[in-house]
Amino acid sequence: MNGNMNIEKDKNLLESIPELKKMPYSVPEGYFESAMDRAKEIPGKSASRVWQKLYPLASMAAMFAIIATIGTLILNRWEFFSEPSEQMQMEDYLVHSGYDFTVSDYQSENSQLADAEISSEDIVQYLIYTGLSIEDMGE
Amino acid sequence: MTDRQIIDLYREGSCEKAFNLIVEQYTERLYWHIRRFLCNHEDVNDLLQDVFIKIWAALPSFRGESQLFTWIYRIATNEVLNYLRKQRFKALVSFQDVTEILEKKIDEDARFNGNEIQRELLKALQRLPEKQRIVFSLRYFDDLTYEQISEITNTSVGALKASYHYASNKIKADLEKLF
Repeated sequence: MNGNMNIEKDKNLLESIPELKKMPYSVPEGYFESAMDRAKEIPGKSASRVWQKLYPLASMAAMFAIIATIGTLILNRWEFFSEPSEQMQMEDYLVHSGYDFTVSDYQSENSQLADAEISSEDIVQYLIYTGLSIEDMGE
Repeated sequence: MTDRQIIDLYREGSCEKAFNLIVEQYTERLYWHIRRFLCNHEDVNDLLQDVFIKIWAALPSFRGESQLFTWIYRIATNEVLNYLRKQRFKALVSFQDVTEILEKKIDEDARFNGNEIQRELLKALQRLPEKQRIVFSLRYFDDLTYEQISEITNTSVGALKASYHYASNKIKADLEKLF
């Protein structure tokens, strides 16, 4: 009860001077209009603000992609110029020749080689080429 | 246009239009609300823009559980409190009394065009604890109901009434010194 009376007294004092409720400040002329105009620009600016926040991440991702691409290209080039192993050469040959290299083909090829005759002329040519004499052959 | 219509407009997808209506309806009210706590036009101007940035950013999360009006005032009040805390910290670091700084600002404000009792009321307001200052300001100057202030400050109506009572007593005591 006593508390309520105090509240009433305070209210009376504060209500008895009407100008107390007014804000005793002036603002620059046209301030509220310009403040509104600036505030209305916020949605547009906030989009660019989002981009500003994302920009470092985006540039890092782009940089990473560039490095990865360049790295891949360099590695591919290095493999291209480097000498392939003998086995890889053979594999490449077999793959790219389109030849069906089966066991039966190999056997038939070898049997043809076995059946071929060596003429005496071939032997003479071989001896001339290697520099061996007939005496050397006899030994 | 009512707050409900503004929110409906926002939910229909006219986000910028709804925001512009909020700006038009609340710029002046929020300016004076902030002006009672910050004793400098330039500071209020900066903070007002920050408040609208926060409102725009937080609008998608507005669920309509409270009135748009109280929601906007809550954002503004929180921004004011954050600003005052920073000011208090700065004053603490420089071994100054923040109330003295604010009172000095009131005395030196070139835009003050009131009388002595109005000046004393503003100074008395700065001497109040934060909570009482907010309750008194919202109740006395903005004529809000305790229920609305309760929504803004997340405080019970009973506690608000008590805060207002203490704040009124202190202000009355300060004003009586003038007579």
